[in-house]
Amino acid sequence: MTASGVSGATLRVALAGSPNTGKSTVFNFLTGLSQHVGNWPGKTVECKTGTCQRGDTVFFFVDLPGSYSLTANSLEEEVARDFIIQEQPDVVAVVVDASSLERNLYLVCELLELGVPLVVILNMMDIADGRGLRVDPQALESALGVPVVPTVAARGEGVSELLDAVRAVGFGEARALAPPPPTSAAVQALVERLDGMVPSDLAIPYPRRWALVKLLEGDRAIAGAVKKALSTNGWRGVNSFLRLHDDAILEIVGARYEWVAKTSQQVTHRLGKEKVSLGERADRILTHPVGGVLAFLGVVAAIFWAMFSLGTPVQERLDDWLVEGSAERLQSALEGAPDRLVSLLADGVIGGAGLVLTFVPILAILFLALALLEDLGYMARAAFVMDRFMHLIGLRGKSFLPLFLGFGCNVPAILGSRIVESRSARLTTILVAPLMPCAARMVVVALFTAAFFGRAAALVSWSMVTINLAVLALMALLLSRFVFRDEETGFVMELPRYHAPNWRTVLMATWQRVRAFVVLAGTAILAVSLVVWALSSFPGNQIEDSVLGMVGRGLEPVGRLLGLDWQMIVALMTSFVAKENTIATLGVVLGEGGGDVDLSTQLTQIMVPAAAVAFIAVQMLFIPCVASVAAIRRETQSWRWTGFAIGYMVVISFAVGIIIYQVARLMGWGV
Amino acid sequence: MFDERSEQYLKTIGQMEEEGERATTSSLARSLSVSMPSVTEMLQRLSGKGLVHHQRRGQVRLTKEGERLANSLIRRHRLWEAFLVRFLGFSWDEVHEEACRLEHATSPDLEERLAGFLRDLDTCPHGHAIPVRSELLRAEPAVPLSKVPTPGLVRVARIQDETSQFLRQLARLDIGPGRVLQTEGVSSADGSVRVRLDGRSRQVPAEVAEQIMVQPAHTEETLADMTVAVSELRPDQVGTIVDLSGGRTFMARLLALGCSPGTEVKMVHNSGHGPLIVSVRGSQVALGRGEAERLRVKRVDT
Repeated sequence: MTASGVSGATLRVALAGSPNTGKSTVFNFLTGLSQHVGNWPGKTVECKTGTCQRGDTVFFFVDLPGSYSLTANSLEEEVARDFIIQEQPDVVAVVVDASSLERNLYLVCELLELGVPLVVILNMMDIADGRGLRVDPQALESALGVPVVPTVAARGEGVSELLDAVRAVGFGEARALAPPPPTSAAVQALVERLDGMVPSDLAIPYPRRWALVKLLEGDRAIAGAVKKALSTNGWRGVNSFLRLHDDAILEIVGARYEWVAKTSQQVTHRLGKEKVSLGERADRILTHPVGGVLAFLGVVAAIFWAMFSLGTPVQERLDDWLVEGSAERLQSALEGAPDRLVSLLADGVIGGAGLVLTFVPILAILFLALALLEDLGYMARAAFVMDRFMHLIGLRGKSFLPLFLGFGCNVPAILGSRIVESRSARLTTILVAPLMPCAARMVVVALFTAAFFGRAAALVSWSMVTINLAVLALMALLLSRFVFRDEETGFVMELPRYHAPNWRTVLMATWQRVRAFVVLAGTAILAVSLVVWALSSFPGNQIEDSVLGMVGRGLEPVGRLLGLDWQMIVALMTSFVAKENTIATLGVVLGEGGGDVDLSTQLTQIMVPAAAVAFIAVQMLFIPCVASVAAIRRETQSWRWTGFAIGYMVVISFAVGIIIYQVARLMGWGV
Repeated sequence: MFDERSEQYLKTIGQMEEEGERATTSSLARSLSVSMPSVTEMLQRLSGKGLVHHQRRGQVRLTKEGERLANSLIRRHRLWEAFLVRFLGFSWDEVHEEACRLEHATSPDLEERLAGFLRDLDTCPHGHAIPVRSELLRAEPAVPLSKVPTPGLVRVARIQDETSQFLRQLARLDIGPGRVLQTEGVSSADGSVRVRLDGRSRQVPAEVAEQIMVQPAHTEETLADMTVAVSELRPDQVGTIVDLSGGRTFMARLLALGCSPGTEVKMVHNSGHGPLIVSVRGSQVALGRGEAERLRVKRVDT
């Protein structure tokens, strides 16, 4: 090994690459458990960093979001692009799928144009071999003019050579800058003319010439930056020039692909004909309009089965031990301590955040299944077959899975919406996810419908679920039509090749999501639980004397429209902590003096059926629980959208409740 | 023999009748770029010689004799244009002015010999039919591109303005007789027409579109020229991408995934409704149907 000359130095390395190139496998192999997952400052884009050491060099890796090009078509691509340009990492290591070289070299081409210190990681060499493709790394290296390292990251092959190459480039021992691929004369001419129109001292945080080409490619972020730096008149001229040449992008991208195709052909040799792979045969069923939907429902059923048959017993055990058990232990340990303190710990901390934590095993199973399906390459197929249905409500296929998970619990639905790429579709998914009738709400529905409607209970429950889904569809449609109209990339999605799952990647992804959930429960959910506890315990000792109780009384006029008295309103309020709390609260509020009459009977005594239906409807559509609100806040990074979600749900729930009560009364159920 | 100016009038009236337009004092003044009084004066002279006669509402028509003369002039003009382009290497934007001079100096005998020499040609380089006999024929029906009512496929029949300046402008747009265009509608703002040609979309200014006469194109030969939405391909059919449209972000995304013009795409899955899957540059891309309709391809026989 040659001495680097710089001892103990740190190299900042950005790991770039298109989605489905095994980039996260490379990253996981390099950084292992040293990873840190956060968000990019001010963005809802995941940012993963990690370190690894070789010899006396420390490599600080930043895993950039997957991007197909340096044009910012999504928030992810903008984050990746801006990091490379503005943070100027010592080395950019770009992961390339050797089995799909032509598509992947496009990003390499753009990075060469940008002129950053580059190392190309030629990953998935084994899969290329399996497809009868022989990619020659040496030939690619001489064609590109930058170091090329062949790897099979899934097995760790080539990783140490990769670090050597990164170090050599980082310390300037190896050539890392190649002359950019030639641009066509037509494009050159356009760039020259644009160059003359833009003042030479333009203050934008991008290299000038590169930015001019991106302007011609119609990059919105660059256009915004240039517009800001120019006078109104200057921009008008530039803008009309750009509009006149709005097909320049075809020329520019076409020229890149011409170079890419030529380079790819030079270095790839086909050994024998490609056979119809197992994956292609599987796709005949998995992407079939009918077969694909059935297969997908089967997959979802399997996930649910695993969640409930394997996860629920553990959750119940945890509930007994962690929530009830520790509450009891706490009460006996704190014998003589002020009631308030005991209540704070038992009801606020353990009853709120603790309860949420008991769901970790169930969520872990879910996250594991999702990570596995994603790594396998199935997720894109699921999105594909569900697209035609989701399209009807203004969403695209990818939103289906997170929403469907909402039947279990809204929290994973919201957290799972990260798989939706487009920001607007993701926000829509997050904002409507709390309308999915979750299991906890169904418990309440079951209790009420059984108490009031006997035989018709199933029908009433079903109607309630239908109302929720209808409101969800309507909201999704309204949001996508009127709120998020502008950012439209449509449904364009690469279907990755199936490949054997890499357990390291799958487990790492599962662990990171579980950890995020635990952190959420320990911070945001805990905080909100405590606030709600405080509202329900102060100033008086009883819930009816508390702030919450007073709000409930204050809302009685609204309650009257719904046929509900203040106890029911308070029960609704406490469902904010957790939906199943409704029952517990009713137990507490109605409990006194009730003697041995059970809750169902009590309910039928204090409410007419019309009010009961209204109550269920409101409860189903009401403010999502604390955990969901915290999750919404985390995923939208915005109090505004969180407030919007709460606001619209309050309005809709009461509106629907009032309509149902009044209509039901007219129909004679009010007697 | 008449003077060149009278011949110019006869020819212009003849061309108007050929297109089925009404020749009036004002339309002649516009077309010949002269004042109305001088048109009136000339028409009186021609009328006196029995070459035109006035009709209702200011319209003038050629008499039998006038028609014979006009037809002969038109024929000579187009024959010369065709001759210059085919045998002397002139380009189509250079020959109109030359032919204007030559047509007046051509004897009936020369006209017949030229016609015999060029008997395999039916049209001049600008797409106008070369008259066969001495009788003026109505031109094949065609409308200006600016008046095409609905988006569709049209073939350029002929170009009305033959000045070199105008034709060079057309050459830049790559439009000429015989070309098949896909019209995409007239802009309500400035009357310009959006057309698609070899997959590229371009804007034809209103004043240019007025001079391009087009006919509906739906015959067999044009089918080869026709582009279809990629969603028209059945599984295993192959097409070459000629154009994409529909918003910058969408285009940029498609292009980044390798769907650049000239690329072959193979349909992998298309059930006729809902999203579809194509194979492009070795990877599979799923597209919504609406999105697929904005990606146009030319079928490739496999």
